[in-house]
Amino acid sequence: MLRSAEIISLREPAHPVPVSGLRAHQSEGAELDYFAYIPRSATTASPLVVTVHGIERMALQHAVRFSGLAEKHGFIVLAPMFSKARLPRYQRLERGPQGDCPITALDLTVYHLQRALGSAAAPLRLFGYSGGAQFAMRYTMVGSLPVARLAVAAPGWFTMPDIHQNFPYGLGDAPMLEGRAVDIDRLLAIPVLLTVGAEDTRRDKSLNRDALVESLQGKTRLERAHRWYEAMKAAAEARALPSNLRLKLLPGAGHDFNDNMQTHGLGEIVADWLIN
Amino acid sequence: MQVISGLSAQLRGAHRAFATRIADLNLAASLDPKAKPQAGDLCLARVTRLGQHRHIELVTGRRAALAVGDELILAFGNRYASDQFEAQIPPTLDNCHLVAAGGIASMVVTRHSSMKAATEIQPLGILRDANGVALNLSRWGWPGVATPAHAPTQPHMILVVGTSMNAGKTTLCANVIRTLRECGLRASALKLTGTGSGGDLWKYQDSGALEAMDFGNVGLASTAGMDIRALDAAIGRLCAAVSPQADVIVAELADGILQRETSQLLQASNLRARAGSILFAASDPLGAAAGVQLLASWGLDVSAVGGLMTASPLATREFTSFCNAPVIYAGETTAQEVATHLFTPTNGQSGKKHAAQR
Repeated sequence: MLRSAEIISLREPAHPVPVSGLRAHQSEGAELDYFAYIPRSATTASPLVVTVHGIERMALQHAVRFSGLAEKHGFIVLAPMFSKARLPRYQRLERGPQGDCPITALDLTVYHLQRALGSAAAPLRLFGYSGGAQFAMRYTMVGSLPVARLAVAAPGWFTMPDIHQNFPYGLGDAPMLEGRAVDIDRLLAIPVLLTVGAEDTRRDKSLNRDALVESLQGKTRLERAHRWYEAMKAAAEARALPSNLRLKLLPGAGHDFNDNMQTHGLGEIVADWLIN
Repeated sequence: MQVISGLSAQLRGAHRAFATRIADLNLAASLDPKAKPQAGDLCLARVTRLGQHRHIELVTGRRAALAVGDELILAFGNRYASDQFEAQIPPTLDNCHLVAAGGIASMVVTRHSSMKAATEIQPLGILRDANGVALNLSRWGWPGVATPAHAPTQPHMILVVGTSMNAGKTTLCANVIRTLRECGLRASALKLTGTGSGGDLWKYQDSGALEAMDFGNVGLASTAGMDIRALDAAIGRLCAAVSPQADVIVAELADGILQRETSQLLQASNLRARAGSILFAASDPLGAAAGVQLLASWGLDVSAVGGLMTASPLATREFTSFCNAPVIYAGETTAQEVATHLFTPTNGQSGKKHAAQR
């Protein structure tokens, strides 16, 4: 079966894009600031990987750490920056103090890069780390643009497949959704990779230690990853769907993004999942 | 040619300058007191009169105090330093000057009015090997390293240029290196042009650079007056030597963008393609605005402005009232926020925007 990027390449001839290398875009509009890495082999049909930072907002590091893999696999990297001022709780899909919507902001950011490169629209290959993983998982269910493949690494907590809990804890309605549905079928229908460090068990202040989350999901990222994995498998079985979810532990890895990318091969694992 | 016995002992007793650091002095077999000096030639010289430079920077980085009669191992080179000396390699080995503390022998042409007369030296001879060939830094400057026009694996290069000498370029480089380090990224620091000296390299290292190299690593004592193609090729060799561990290159061009080599490199060279983004260091608002506009006229958009100007909130405000290029290190911001201003491409759409008068 053809994947989306291949379909597009059949419809329109692919043209080289006019730029390459690491680029930064400073927004003057409603889109986000972002970093992009465009490999030398990039064409208008190259796949786009969107990589979303955690609450430390390391968008630059995301772009740099994926740059070598982008050259190797020929994908374009988009690393949006959800600034603390504009979107302090982007990972929960909450609007910012000036009314910015994180979903719309990401959509506009993707359009901005696609327009700049002359790329055709295609379903996203989405990756998120920590808080970015929460965003990516929730965007897949609630967001506007279709997601073709998803990889999430070390989310602090999850939206559980539980209709009795309100979003973002579960699938139930919540004011922040503004009428949007939380469509778990969109998540179950696509290949999803969940990774977490086998040593990601520290309970520091960056971890959500809310009593409700602890009681429903566990006390560490590692424990919560296992619980969500089992819950999602059960949700797929209940719908008679094959499970597209894979769980991969990174031996010896903690919660440091740079360390996971440089030492524990997270980038290669994610690139393989999203591209191959 | 005069063969001097005990030359090794004489060299061991001399102060060896930083600019000669890559040379293997074990090859020195004789001194030629009548040679015509060439750029990069190593010489043994004696201090005859102390002037502006009363210290010399050793290969270790230590600044050794000088006295009349001290013998020094130096390299011949031109100097272009608008706040210090303009100097040219003399045609003979007659008495000349120590024109840079890093260990450059040359003949002063002009000097800044705040400078004392240069320290005077008597060259005792050019060092030659056992075959009578002059010891020149180019011998050790990685002559076998290829100089691809565009290194296929080069990390993103942040190129720092400025209005002039002492505009804050090296400090800006150091701050960028620190910022990148705080972001968990490793920077290789390169001083692409200038006069041999360790000061900037130590500053890069102190800021956390993964490595710090300059044109001295590719066999040049100084880049002043060089043929631009040869200089561009030397820069290519330097870039090719960057560690594969580096995430980003932070590179500095000496002097101001009107200086001959800096101007030529920015207008037409392979360096233009190597530079992923450009930062401009300025000492004052008018210089900042003019620099941004001049670079835009050369097809180079500035990613952000920094430098001495940013020490003054009033001067910074004056600049930002005229030009909307981002100003970095002018206030309290996080490393992540600063980093967003370091990577705007040189050929983006921002040139007109930045250059436009408000």
